[in-house]
Amino acid sequence: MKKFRDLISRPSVTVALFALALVLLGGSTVGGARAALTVESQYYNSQVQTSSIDVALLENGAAVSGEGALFSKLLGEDSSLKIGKKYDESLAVQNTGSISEYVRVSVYQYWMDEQGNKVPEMDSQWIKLGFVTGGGWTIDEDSSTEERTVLYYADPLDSGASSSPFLNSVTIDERAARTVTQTGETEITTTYVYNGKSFCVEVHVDGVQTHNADQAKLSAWGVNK
Amino acid sequence: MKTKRSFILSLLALVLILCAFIQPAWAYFTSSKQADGAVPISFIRRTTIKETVDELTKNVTIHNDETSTVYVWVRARAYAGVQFNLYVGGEGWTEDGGWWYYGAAVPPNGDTKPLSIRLEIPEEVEPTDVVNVGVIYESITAFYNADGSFKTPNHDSDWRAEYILDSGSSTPNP
Repeated sequence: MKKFRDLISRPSVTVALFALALVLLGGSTVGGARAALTVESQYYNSQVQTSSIDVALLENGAAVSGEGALFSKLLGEDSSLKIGKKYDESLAVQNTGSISEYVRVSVYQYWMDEQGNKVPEMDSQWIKLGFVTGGGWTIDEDSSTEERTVLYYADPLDSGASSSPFLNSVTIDERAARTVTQTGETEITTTYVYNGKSFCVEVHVDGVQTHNADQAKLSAWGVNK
Repeated sequence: MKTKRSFILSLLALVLILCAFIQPAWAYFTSSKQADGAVPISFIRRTTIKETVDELTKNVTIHNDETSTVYVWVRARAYAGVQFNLYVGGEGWTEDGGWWYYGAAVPPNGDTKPLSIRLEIPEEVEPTDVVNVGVIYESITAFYNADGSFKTPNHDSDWRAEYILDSGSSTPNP
C-alpha cells in the first residue's frame, strides 16, 4: 500500500494519469458526437416530436383502472351470483400511447373474507377464468401459478390499437358452495366455508417500447418474450 | 505538502479514468395499469315446512324463507305405522326411491305446491284415537348450468355431495 501511495504521489505519475483520463473521457465524448452527427445527417429535415407510451385495460370495450373497477356489471340482471353460470366478461388491452408497444398481462385470482383480507388457503382454482389463447395471446406457464396467470401478446400494438380479448368468462365452481365444516357429534353444525366470501380478480397490464424490443423487454420485464 | 497534493490529484485522475469505463445506462419507455374487482357469493338457505290436516289427509308445502339468498330443490317422504297405507302425490311432485321430489327450484320467499298424504286405515285394523303420520324433508342449493339455466340435481349423488373440509383439504362425503 505504501509503495502504491509513493508511486501515485510522484508528480510525473499524476500528470500521466490526468493525461490518460483526458484521453479516455475525450474519446467517449467524440464517439457520442459522431453518433449525433450521423443521426442529424440522415434526418436533416426531421422534426422533434415528443413520444409517449401508455396502455389501458378494456373491460367489455371500456377502459377501467383502479381498485374495485372490475366486475361492476358482471352479474347483469342477476341479484346475486349464480353458482355454475358462466358470466360473460371480456378483457383486452389497448395501446393509448403514441408509439407502438408490446404488452403482457398478469391476472391474479383469490378469495377475500368479509373484511377484505386475502384468504390464501381457500381454493383459487374454483374461480374459473376463461382465458383465450390463440388470438395472439400465449400463457407463460413458467411464470404462472395457481393464483397467477401471465399472458404475452405476440404482436406489437400500434398506437390506438386494441388486442383480442385475453379473457372472456368467469364461472364459480359449485364445489365452492358444497364445501363445509362440521362440528359436534350428537348435534352437528354445518358451516358453508365460502358463504359470504368474495372472489377477487386483479389484472396488471404492462407495456414496453418496440424499439430495441429485446433489450427493453429484458430490462423492464426481466424476460424476453 | 507537495507530495500530499500529488497524491490527491492522482486519486482524482484515477476516479476520472474509472468514469470512462462506466457503461451507459439505458432507459426504456414502459407503462402499466392495474385494476381489480371482487364479487361476494352467498348461499344462505333456510326452509320451513307447513302442514294442514283435513280428516285423514295431510297437505304439506315447503317454504323457502325470504332471507334465503338461493333457490332450493326440495324432497320429502312420509311414513306411518306399517299397518296403515299412505297415498302420496301432488302436482309437480314425482316419486323416486321412496322420496318425493319437487320438480322446480323454489325461489326465496316461495313455496312448493302441496304434497298430499292420505292415510288409509284397513278394515282389519282396530281404529285408535291417534295415528301419527310423519313427514321429513330436505333441501339443497340450486346450481346452474353454464347458460344460466337450472341444473337438475341427480337423485342419487347430488343430495349427499357436500365436501367436508378437514385439516385444510376437501374430500367428498360418501
